[in-house]
Amino acid sequence: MRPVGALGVVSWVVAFFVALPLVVVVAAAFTSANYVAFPPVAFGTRWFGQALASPEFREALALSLELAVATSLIATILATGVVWCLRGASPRTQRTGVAFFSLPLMVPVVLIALSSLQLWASLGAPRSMALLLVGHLILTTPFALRIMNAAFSMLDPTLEMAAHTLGTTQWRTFLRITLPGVKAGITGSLALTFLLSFDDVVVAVFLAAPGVRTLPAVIFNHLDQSLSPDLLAISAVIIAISVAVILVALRVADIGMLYKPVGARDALRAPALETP
Amino acid sequence: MERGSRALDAAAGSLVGRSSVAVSKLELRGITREYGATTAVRDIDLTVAAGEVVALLGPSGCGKTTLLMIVAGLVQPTRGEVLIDGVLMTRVAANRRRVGVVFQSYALFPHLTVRENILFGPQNEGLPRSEYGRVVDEVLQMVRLGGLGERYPTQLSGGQQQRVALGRALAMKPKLLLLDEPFSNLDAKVRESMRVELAHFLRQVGTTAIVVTHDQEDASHIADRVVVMSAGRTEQIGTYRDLYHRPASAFVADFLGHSNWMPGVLNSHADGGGRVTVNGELWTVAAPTVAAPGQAMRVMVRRGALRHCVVTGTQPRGEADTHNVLHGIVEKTVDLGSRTALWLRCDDVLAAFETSSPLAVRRGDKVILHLDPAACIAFPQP
Amino acid sequence: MKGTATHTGMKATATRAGILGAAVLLYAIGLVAPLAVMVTSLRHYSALGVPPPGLTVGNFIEVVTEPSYRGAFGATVAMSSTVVVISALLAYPLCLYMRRTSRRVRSILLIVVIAPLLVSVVVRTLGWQLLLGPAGIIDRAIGVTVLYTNAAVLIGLVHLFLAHMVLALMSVLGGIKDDLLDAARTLGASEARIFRRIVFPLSLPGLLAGSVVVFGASTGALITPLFLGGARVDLASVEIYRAALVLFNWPLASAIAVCLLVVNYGIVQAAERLLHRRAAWVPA
Repeated sequence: MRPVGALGVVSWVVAFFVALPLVVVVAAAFTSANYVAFPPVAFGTRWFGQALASPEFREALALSLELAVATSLIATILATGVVWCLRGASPRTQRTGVAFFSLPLMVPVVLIALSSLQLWASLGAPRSMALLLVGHLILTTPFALRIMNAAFSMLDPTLEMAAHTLGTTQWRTFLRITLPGVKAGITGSLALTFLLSFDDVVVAVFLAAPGVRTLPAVIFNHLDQSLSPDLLAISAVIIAISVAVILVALRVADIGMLYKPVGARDALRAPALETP
Repeated sequence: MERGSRALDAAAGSLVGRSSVAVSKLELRGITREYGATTAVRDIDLTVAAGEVVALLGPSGCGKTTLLMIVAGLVQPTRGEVLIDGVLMTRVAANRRRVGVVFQSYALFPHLTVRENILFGPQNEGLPRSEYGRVVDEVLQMVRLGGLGERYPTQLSGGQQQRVALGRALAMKPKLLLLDEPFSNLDAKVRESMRVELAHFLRQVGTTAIVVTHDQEDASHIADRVVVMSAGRTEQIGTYRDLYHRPASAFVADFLGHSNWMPGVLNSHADGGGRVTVNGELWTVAAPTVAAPGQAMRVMVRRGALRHCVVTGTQPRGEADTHNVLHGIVEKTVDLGSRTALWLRCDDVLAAFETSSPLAVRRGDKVILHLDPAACIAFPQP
Repeated sequence: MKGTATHTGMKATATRAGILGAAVLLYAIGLVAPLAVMVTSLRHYSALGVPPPGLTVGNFIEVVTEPSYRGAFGATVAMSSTVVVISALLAYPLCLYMRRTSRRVRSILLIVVIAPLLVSVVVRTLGWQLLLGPAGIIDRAIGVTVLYTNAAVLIGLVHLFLAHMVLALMSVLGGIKDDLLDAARTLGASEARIFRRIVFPLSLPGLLAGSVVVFGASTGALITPLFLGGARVDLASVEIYRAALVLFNWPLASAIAVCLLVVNYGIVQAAERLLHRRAAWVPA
């Protein structure tokens, strides 16, 4: 292919810029000093140990993980269900349906968080993980919906019709024909919603309470105080979990395929110019 | 169906004639294109004379489109040179070559009107604004799309889109015109009429043109000369007539026309011809490739080779001595209106023939076919 | 085409109703009801004890008239617009490059650009604080503490939302088939002209979609302006946070939030209208 050129240079610089803060955090976390600095002053891993030992951290991590898992499962199931339901409907109904369920995307997170807080407060509901779950579901379902919508649209409807003529029940068809077909979408949806929930700060902060604090909320609380390296360690753990989820998702379902440009020529695939 | 199918034909009296397009000579020397381990195009030498229309004919994957793209400058050859009017163009970028291309998909810019599409090329060459109207009118006249200048490509029919693509390519007076599978998007009936129209149009405009196609009928109608390609190489270059009647290889023989293949054994060979034993009978055949007696051969028999068909046992007609004789059992006959098709089973081979005279045979009849030796060509078994 | 034959029968209808019902219920309690509660923006606020009953538009008046709030809104719109522009400027070369490289490079770049999107914003903010702060590399290099300025917030926001713009542009740029570009080349256009006259116009729908997302997300972003902007940077979302969780004046906070929503919506609508007027060929 053509040499890297100006476009390539700019692209890699941008990529570097994007990765920079994360790299910095992880690098700085490996320090044995008492203060935060980048580049890190002395190499050590004691802050990781310290973080692991802290009950606040462990509780928050557990809560974040439980919440994220619950959110991803429920959001994906709901989204799959909604898309599956809408498939048989007229295009107009489909568009209305998708638009309705995508509403949260139009509302700033801050607003969702604030209004949820007021609703629960006025109802006298105690703060609990359940409220956070509802909030996270609202945040993530539109994304799950988009992904499942795209995944379902790539399904060949004739496959299900064929199964039908071969006499299977609807449930069976769904399980054995439909679901495997949207496997990539389901994986992507699970991964994305997990991460969106795991990462969320705003809703978690607004709806926080003692005992109901996610990991990002913990960091938030400590951020305006002077930085200490245990924050870095916690952050590094968050980064590690996030990256792990992304890599697993990519491995399980070739998500990169979802973004392959349609019309672009793949120069290494010879002879790509030949008319089929 | 396609109202515009006569449109190109009517360009006869139109404004654009030889003087308006640059007419150039193209020379390809040793063009090779490799993609890693695969070779798409191998050592191609070709000269296209000014004003000539050449067809690159071959099956998919033979490298014809790659070759076209090399001429256009969109693909760089790994080795070899491209010369236009004697000037070395191999390293010249596509946007400075002034080669017009009509893509298989037409590649019309969807966000520009027909008018803007046509003006695109001249604008890149700095056409003054005052000339816009004249150029557009001229081109629209040439392709007979007058009045459609303000439409968008999506609002046009397939045939109209093709004419816009043609006009757009010609608007900047290119040195060559390259067309990639111009008829692949059309259905059979339209294809036939468009073939004739395009052939006529190209002659009127007079530009040097190269047409890529996998359809031999396209080539036969449009091209002055045909380049048959296979697996990246040129198999044979010549007029369609030459290639049809004197194919140099089994591939070319099979690709053009409709043929049957029968196994045989070579008896003798002399001067491009020979005697081959086929199915127990001694045949006179053309044999472009030298071979030794006893060599196993494949004999190509054109569908149109049938001269007489007589039921075994009845008296043969005259001229029997000069024909190649084939015994077999009738598998099927089909009345195609102006022609009759006959399927003959002889040993393991099912051969198909066509004739315009009526046949008085039925399925199951044992018959003797008399075939025209000029339509039988033998090649060595590989 | 009309729905497949598998969706027939009573059982199917009941299942569908159940699923849709559950989803709607979720949205009712998670989105609709809370937003309805925004009516508190019309209520009085009292720092001590029970607020007086009745409705008032006093909060809205305060938002609209107070110079600090108006300044915050102005700054928010300015900041968000800048974020959109810079994201676009960075996203275009990235997407164009990804389009033409090998599949492996494309995947790597995509992962690198998108992955940070999926790491919590507080973590990223922490990283920027390290980099831009008084003891950070930038400070040591050029002696300027970028932290707690508008520039820092801008960097942080672009970093956050670049991926959205990239995703939006990628699909639209990917839809531009190569032979359109080849055709333009054979017609004598330089690469710059091809971008200006073919690629950019055809990418407008994606650019608009990306801009809408980035603009909306920027106006609603809280963490980045809060921690990278510090006291000097004043944006609407920060004001909402302060009013709600610092002053505990929920009615006021709601009023600011509603105004933000209206401003956001208005700008998005205006942008969409503008696109459809300029590019008549875009299917609506």
